[in-house]
Amino acid sequence: MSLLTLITFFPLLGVAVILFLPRESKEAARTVAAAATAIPLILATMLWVQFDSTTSAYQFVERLPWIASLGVEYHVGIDGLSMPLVWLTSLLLFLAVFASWKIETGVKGYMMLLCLLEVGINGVFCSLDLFQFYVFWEIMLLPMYFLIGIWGGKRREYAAIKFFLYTLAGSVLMLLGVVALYLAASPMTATPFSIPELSGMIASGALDGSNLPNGGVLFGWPFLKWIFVFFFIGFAIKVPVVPFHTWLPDAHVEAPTAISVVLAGILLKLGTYGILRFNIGMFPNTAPEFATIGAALGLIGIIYGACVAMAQTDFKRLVAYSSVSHMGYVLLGAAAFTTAGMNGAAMQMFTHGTSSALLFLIVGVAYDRAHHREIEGFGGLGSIAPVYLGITTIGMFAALGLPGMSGFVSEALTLFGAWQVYPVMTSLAVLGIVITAAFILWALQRVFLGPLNEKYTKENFADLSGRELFTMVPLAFLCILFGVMPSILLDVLGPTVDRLVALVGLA
Amino acid sequence: MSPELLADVRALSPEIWLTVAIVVTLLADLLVGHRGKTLVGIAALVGVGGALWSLFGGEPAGATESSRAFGLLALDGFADFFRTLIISGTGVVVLHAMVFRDLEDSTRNEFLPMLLTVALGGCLLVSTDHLLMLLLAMELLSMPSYLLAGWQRRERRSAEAALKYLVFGALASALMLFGFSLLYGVSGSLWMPEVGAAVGRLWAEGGTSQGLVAGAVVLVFAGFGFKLAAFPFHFWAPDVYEGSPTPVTTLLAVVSKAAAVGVVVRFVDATFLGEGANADWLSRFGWIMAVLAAVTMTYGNVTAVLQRNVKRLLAYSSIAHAGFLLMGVAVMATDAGGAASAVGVQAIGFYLVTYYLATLGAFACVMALSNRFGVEDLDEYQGLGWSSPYVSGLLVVFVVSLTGLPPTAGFIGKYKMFVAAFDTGLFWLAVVGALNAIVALFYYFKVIRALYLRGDWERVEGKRERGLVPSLAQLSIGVLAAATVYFGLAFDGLAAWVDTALFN
Repeated sequence: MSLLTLITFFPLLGVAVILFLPRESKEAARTVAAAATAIPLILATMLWVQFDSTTSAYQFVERLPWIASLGVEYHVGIDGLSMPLVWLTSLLLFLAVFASWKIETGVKGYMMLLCLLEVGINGVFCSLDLFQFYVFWEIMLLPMYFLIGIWGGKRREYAAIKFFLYTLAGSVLMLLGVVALYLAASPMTATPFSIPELSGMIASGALDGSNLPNGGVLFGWPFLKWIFVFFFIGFAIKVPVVPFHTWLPDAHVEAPTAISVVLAGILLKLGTYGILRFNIGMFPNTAPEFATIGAALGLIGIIYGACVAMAQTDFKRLVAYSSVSHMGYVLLGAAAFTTAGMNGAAMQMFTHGTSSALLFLIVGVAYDRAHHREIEGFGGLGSIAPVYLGITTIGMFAALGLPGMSGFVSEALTLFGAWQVYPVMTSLAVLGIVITAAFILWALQRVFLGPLNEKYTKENFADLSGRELFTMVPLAFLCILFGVMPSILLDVLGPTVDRLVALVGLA
Repeated sequence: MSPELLADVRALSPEIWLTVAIVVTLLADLLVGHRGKTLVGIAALVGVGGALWSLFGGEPAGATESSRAFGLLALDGFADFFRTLIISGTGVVVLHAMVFRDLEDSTRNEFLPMLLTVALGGCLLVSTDHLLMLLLAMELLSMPSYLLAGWQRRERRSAEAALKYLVFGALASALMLFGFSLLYGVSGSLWMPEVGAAVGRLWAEGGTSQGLVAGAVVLVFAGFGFKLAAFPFHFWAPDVYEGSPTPVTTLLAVVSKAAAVGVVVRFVDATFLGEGANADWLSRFGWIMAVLAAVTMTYGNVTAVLQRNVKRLLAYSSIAHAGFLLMGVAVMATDAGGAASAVGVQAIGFYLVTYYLATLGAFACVMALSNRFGVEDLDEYQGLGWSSPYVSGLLVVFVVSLTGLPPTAGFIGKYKMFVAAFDTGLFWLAVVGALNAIVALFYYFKVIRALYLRGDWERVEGKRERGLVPSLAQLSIGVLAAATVYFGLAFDGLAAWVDTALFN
């Protein structure tokens, strides 16, 4: 059994154990969940250590027949793009268990769903079989629906179903794409869902849908173009790309803290991962046709997200919209198809995963103590909670891209890369950085600096507890680490990114 | 007895088992009275078990050349496939009817043989390629259904359901019969292949002959569409589903639907796709089926959004699924006798199994919740997820499967249906189907929302019944759920069974 299989499915063991715990044993459920997510984290760390960063080939591959009648395989493997995300998933889910320690209702169910969520997400990142990818992609939605819908805030029902409907709308389009790809590929290969094989056949031009009814042409568009668009919409909803983003603020605001962390830290990355893996990795010949649109959508996201974040009065909504803005860089960088841009995009996925997760934890701390999230309702918290201020500063500086922090490296790379292709759009995107800096610093100022809001004292607004520090310090550390030594990450990403750029360059 | 007759009788052994069970249960009721309800129930279950055994165990019932019993029945693998679904579905319904609380004990023993009669009618219906036998079997299926729908005499809704079902059903049967007589008039035969040859010939003639053929087929499909609950012959379904006792609703949604699908597929296959098929006629027919499929699934799904009663909601959902099944019929009709018909039949067969598992399971959960808490409305379901984790948890599985999400069988069913549609050039129909899945998510998850997202966390005990039969009923839900998930992840065996059964 490969390491990837263990990482992906180990949390299922946790689900099984928690299921048979007695109803009252909350502490036991938490402990089991912590253990069930700790092991994958340890294994994922081993994965990073053993990872060969000199090659762009898929590693730790395991390939077994699964459903012979359709040619579906159990096929897992990772490259430089997915490996860091598997590690990040394992880390954030582990931290999420601790960030959820205070949940008192339905602990068993909550922890089981959290473990199940990890299976779904890691399954998506590891899948090299399209069918398997789709199954994991959908499996992930169910726990998320329940986690938001049961343990969320006041409008949780609305937020949960909205999240589900938006994502499903995208994924049924993707499913149509999968069906079409399957039909076109099944006469040519025994394993028509294998992502590496499909990519190879599409890149070589062998797979162009000409064997489909009507030659695969529909409304004047060739087969591959349709599939590209279907996949793109499916992933764009997940990112979310403006104008598909409206589920995000609702889901974030209503979700419990730990779930916001997972949502911002990883789930959004699934969208950009899909775009890089499929829209660019699988359709390198079609991608350039849509590159300008992609870059423009990225730019709109950057500016729009930042402007809307500026206008928020709710701390959590502000962080949510900042995610829309930050994910825009990924799209802009990827659409440039330059080495720097693509590196920046891939790195931004990771760095935003750490910084946004940290920010949501920070918001969660404030909400736990004050039971509201109005930015104006705080003030001067730094004087009574200095450690909290310190961590927040790290998180926010990382988010606004201060040099020395991880966000700086990835955003700078993105912009360098995009500049070579889209100078006008890139200069506009720089404006986004300014707005981001403005709303983040302004929020920092209103919450932590200035005179202390009289409602809060050292007693009712205690500084970070040991458990909270335990969840935040690793993320803060990563924010600095990848700012100072981005090579740790870039070395891993490098070969895979080069391969993607070369693929498109051939076209 | 001559060997031919013996073979005919052997091929009919599932029906014989059912008939014997019907007689035995009716007599047992006279002998032991309503105190022996478990005994009567067990007798019914033994009959069902025997019928299933005779399908699988011993010698294969059909699947031989000589299986044209009495010149009226085609006891082939196709019939076996549908008979398996019908009989096993009836078995589950009988099991749940034995513990269903809303039935009076004094009439329960007559209830069970009625269920078996529906199954008997269904079995004959899917086994015949002769229009006269088809009509008789359809009536044998329908008559007890009307009675069953009105079983709760003191319930206004039940009486209304029965009357509505009877009136609409009689009308549909009459139209279908008229259609048959027209077909007989033009072909001089009631045997489907000969009818089909005449249809193809007349269509090629053009002019008024075409009108005659089209009119006859429309009339016939009015009868089929009624049983299938397909638009625009679906009007009875919501009221009847809501008003009937839940075991009957289950029977209508699963057994009656499966029989209807069987008869439609066989009719299309034997009549329109047989020798002398006319390509022009077929393409027009296929086009109409595609439109009907799209309208049926959209209508069912969109209307389901508004429902508050769970049975009513599932009724509209079953209309929507009829639309998906018709999608397969449209695929069948895209070319004569070629690969497309096989692709369509396979997709229908697989889809039907997934629908069967999930719908049977969902209704079983509805019955279990109604037994324990006396609830049937979504509003009353609030928060029950915490009081009844087993049944509610399984209901989630069935609902997810009906929506068509992985990792359940429902997803594979939809996947295969989309593949079939794409493969034959019906892109637009696949797109409509996919969009429908989004609407479906919205209303199916209203059930989950009620169970888990609403209400307080208080646990309600409700009325719990212990004992062997209630435990078996609970276990059967678990088995259905396990199968639903299993066939979502490993469906090679099922797909192989469907494919071989349907083409033998």
